[in-house]
Amino acid sequence: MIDQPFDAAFEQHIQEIAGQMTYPPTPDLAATLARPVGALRPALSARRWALAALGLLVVIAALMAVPPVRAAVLEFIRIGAVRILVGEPTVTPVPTSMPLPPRSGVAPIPQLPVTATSAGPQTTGDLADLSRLYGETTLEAARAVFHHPIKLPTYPPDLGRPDRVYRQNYDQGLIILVWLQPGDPRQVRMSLHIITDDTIIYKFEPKIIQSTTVNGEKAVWLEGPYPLMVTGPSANDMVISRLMVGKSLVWAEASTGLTYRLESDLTLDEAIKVAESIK
Amino acid sequence: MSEPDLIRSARAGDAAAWEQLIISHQEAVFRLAYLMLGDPAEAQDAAQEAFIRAARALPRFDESRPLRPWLLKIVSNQARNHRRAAGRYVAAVRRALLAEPEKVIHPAAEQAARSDAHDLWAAVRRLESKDQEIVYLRYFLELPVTETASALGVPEGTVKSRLSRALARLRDVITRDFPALREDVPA
Repeated sequence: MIDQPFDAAFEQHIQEIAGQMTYPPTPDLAATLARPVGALRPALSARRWALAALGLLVVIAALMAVPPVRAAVLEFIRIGAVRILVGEPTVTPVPTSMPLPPRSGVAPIPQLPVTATSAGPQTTGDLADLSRLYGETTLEAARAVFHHPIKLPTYPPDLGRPDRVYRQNYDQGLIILVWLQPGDPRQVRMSLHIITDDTIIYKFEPKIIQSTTVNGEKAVWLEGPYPLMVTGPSANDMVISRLMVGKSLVWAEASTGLTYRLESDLTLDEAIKVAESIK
Repeated sequence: MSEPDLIRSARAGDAAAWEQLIISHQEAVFRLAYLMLGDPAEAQDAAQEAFIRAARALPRFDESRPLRPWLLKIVSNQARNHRRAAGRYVAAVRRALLAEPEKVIHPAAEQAARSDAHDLWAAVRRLESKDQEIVYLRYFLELPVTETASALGVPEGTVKSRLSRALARLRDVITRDFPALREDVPA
């Protein structure tokens, strides 16, 4: 990377603003930790282990008391780099399409109808959500370092290049392309995650899961809302991403090993058109 | 008593000396953890764990060096571990499942209610982790370059080049999304 010329005025400006930062009161750590250094280790270690064990039990108990979570641990499916914890259906399952054949050790995907609640207006992503994402870059810079071609959808015809590009999990690959609404650039129109096999994205308890195909390869259609977390073997950060609290299409591309996740407020048919237009 | 003397006394089992060292540095340690984690309770946990780790490693610490960068290095590692920790992961999922959908705050209203410093923090959080860390150390905690270098475990020249690149990226973020923070906009 070429070093930028140093901008002393900008640095001073940043320093002045940063110096005005307000913080929560500093806790009195000395009161807790002030004991002879040699004595600190066993006493606090034992206590912390006990607290940690107790805390874990409490969290597990709390989680299992929440029906969606209890259900979520029951089933698990995988599409490429994406793992999905699938809960028990809360509505009567009605097959709406041919389910994928279950693979060895993988639960079949439950087929749930689109309910009235999920068919209503979708919440689109607000630009404020983008502030949680780190690793913003340009398409050209991302293409220079990503180990696979970064292909763009050509549908809808007016889509154009992404407005925002993020590269995360730097040793591996997670590229996030974001298109903003043309009439309201504070709203996210669509986002596309391009994920290598090294990166794992967990999705929890989507309300609607439906099997489908993209270019003849298996895919799943998910409707949220759901918390979603991205992690990677050497990532410095985990990111909770809720760019679009709505619908997503997840598919894997066997020829490259890449997994794609398209989030938008499109219908399933439209989302597949977008997915199959990626060239 | 000087810091090296306090370190030597703490090593010898003097609880008061160790307490004095904690009091001297707990604010910087807690604040770095808070900047990195964004949550006071998690920052307190990370800071506490950092001092425990420091106590364990104190017999091997070279007391001719300043203690603060060493403590900040420990707490930054601790904060990164917190971000990765399974407990945080489970807690985040639990919060998301139990809580009401997150309230979306319109950026314009949000910006009006927050100080420039918090807007700057929001801008910095869009940078890569290593850029964030160096900006926190150098500008938020106001460490000199020498201590920043020591905290990051890199030469001073590397600090300067990293800062230059981080500032360039920060300027891009500010220009695009936080125009009120630009230096040519009167306060």
